[in-house]
Amino acid sequence: MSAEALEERELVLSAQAGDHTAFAGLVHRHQRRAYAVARAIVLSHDDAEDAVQEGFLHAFRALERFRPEQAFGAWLHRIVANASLDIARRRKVRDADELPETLSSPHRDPAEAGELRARLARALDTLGERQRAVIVLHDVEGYKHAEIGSILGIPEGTARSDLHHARAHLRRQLSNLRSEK
Amino acid sequence: MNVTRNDNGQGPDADPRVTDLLRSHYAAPQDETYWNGLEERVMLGVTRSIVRINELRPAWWSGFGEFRTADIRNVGLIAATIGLLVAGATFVREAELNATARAMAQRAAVESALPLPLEDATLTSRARSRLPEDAPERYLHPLDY
Repeated sequence: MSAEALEERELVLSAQAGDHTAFAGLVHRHQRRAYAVARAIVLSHDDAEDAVQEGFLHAFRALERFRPEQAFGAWLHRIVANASLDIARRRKVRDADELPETLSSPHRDPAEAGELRARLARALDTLGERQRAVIVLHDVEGYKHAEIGSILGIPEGTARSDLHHARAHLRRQLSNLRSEK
Repeated sequence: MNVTRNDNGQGPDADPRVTDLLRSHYAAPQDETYWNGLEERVMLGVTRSIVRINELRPAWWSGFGEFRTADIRNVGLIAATIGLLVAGATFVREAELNATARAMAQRAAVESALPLPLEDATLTSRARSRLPEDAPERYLHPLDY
């Protein structure tokens, strides 16, 4: 077991014993990855942030059920993914009557207002929730199929197939863009 | 955070330009202060959750703190009244049972005694003159009088 893994195990054990500083250490270590997982599933930065917060809160409440011999990251990512799916479903219901343009509005990106970005956002909107999550987790975050399957609770083969379909879909949707360039 | 442990978006069915677009679209905030702030917000949520849980699960002794002196006095008076009523009822009941038992014992004692031979009983004429007319009946059935 690496020094980093040992250190993390110590943090987990301390957090399980009620040490909040140790839990803060786990948050510090994992929040970027947790954000990436959440961002792959929900449509906006704000929702991803909410999902990260909800995910950590769920993890904190369920900490006593976590077995330290497991990988904390994988366990946490699954929780964050579930929180993200929950938020995405709630958002879908809430936005059912709104205009589609309001669905994709991630901020903090200078290219957001650009035509390129708008087309990509529209293309992503037309992807299924799971396929979008799979392609983002794979092509943006660098997860392997098996890891994606574990995070999203789907078989590895499904993740592989979803990636293939998502890539093909985006290629089709953005084909005219590429020919314009 | 592009960890290239897979085909890095370069597989045969992938379009590198689409991958680049996706990475730009999903770029995580780079500012360190953002992550520090998120960490603080997460921990604030955790702390609030702990406070809420503690509020929902009060300690077993906390209920006593809600009693006021007047409440305690009223409860004490009611309890004392109930206690007196129960004691009184028990006393009356006991007394009734004792009386019944005593009467039954007396009757049993009288009924089990051998009757005296009336023909042998003699009264002097002086004594007889002082006795009421129902004297034999009272002698035979003393509990009926």
